[in-house]
Amino acid sequence: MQPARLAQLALACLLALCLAAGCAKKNTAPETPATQAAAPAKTAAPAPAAAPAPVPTPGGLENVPPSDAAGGKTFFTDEELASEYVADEDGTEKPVAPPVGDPIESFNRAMFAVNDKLYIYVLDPVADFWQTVIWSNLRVGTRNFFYNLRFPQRFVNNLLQGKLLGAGQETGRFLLNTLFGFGGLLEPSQKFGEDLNPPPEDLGQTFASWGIGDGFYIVWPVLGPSTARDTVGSVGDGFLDPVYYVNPWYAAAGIKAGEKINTGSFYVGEYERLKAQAVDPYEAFKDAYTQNRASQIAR
Amino acid sequence: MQRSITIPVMALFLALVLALPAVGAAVPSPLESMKGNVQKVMDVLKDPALKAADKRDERRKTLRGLADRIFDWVELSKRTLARSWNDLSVDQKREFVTLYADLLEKTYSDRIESYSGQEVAFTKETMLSDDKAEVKTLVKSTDKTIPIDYRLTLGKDGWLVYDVQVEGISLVQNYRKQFSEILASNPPDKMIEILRDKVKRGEVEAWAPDSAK
Repeated sequence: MQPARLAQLALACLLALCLAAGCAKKNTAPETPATQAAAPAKTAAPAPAAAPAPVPTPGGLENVPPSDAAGGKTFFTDEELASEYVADEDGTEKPVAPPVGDPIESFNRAMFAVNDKLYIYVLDPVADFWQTVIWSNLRVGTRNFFYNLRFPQRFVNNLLQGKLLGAGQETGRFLLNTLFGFGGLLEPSQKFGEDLNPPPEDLGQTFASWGIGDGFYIVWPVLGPSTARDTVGSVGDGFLDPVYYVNPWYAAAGIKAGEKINTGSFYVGEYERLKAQAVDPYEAFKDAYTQNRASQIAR
Repeated sequence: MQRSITIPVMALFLALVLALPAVGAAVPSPLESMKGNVQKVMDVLKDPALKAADKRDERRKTLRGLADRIFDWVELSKRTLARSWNDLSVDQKREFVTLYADLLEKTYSDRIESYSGQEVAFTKETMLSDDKAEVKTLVKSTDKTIPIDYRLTLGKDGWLVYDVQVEGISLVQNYRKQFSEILASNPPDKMIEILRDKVKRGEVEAWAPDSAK
């Protein structure tokens, strides 16, 4: 029985790799017309030559006139100001994500205030500490490992959405990173770009693809913004997270907490920066969540 | 006599020759413009003369000068306020655009200063219409990759940015929600006042906890 299973696994692995390779071929041709890293000094030369007249040359910083000491008016005219806004004039406006209802706003705002303190005084400092004391490669490895571990979630949700290609890509990614990336600590799949790194699917997105709406907006303590639909989705996805089956429960909880801190270590100070740029932070985070989810669902 | 004619003729010829490349050169593509913009910002960030801590203000000023040439602040503001834009007087619009540009420029500087050393990959250019385009980029640092898409509009000064999307979140739409929330129960002057206070309060200073109002 053992050898039979091994053979089965090998076959599945081969199949997945072939599938992935097939997608790789299909996708690379039309998809990468302009992929190019910004070569530091090289692009500088042609760009300014062709640039419009008022743009200063990159090297000549002294050419940049002192900016708006006089109120920045030099950069726009009254004529421009007088022009009217016409909704989606030329059909290029990004379709606005449907607004999510917020019937429990007072609860949400209270939770938002709690999380605000929690992030600023607990999570962020701990994540910051983690970032300073833990070797960067280890943090990245930990993140990769947990992402790889949750392969079942993404695989199943790809299938539930009828995305066979995505399911195949996920499988190829999982096998490659598990077998050749020390159990998922490394991501050899990165070399294959989008072909082996499909957008992560979750149950909330699956529900959305079935036509189920957001329900309403809800801010959870610690976990942050969500919606009724996405909360149910997260609970469902939880059953496909191997960490859920770790015994005893407090070990699982500890692993989860550790992972959350590790994730936070890549975004130290980000929450405060986002909040600082907002005019109304509560609305800003609510909208950011809605827009971000809409873009994930669309992919 | 002969001389008096030659000089203007030569001057004309010279002017033509000088003007020729400007006329002949096509406007750079949106992607090329964006590449140039990013390069200029990176040059400022890498400039050793501006790296010292006491040069911070000077660097900020330089970045602001660049930002004014990268962004179309009026188009950005107009799309942010949407229909409410038409309710503002020209004076109110002028103040709003100036303050909004200040706020965004500050945010943008904070961000790029903390992200220096990353690599930007320009992945795709899409024409949305004759004078609107989208340029997709990936900002890669050692430990993460963030997708940032720019929306550009073609004006007399070339391609200028009127929206930025980070991880699928449009800056214009995000602020539209915030301002419309304020305008739902306040006149435009009050909104401008809130924005003015916000800009005056400065950088990443802790925001007053009146969120639970």
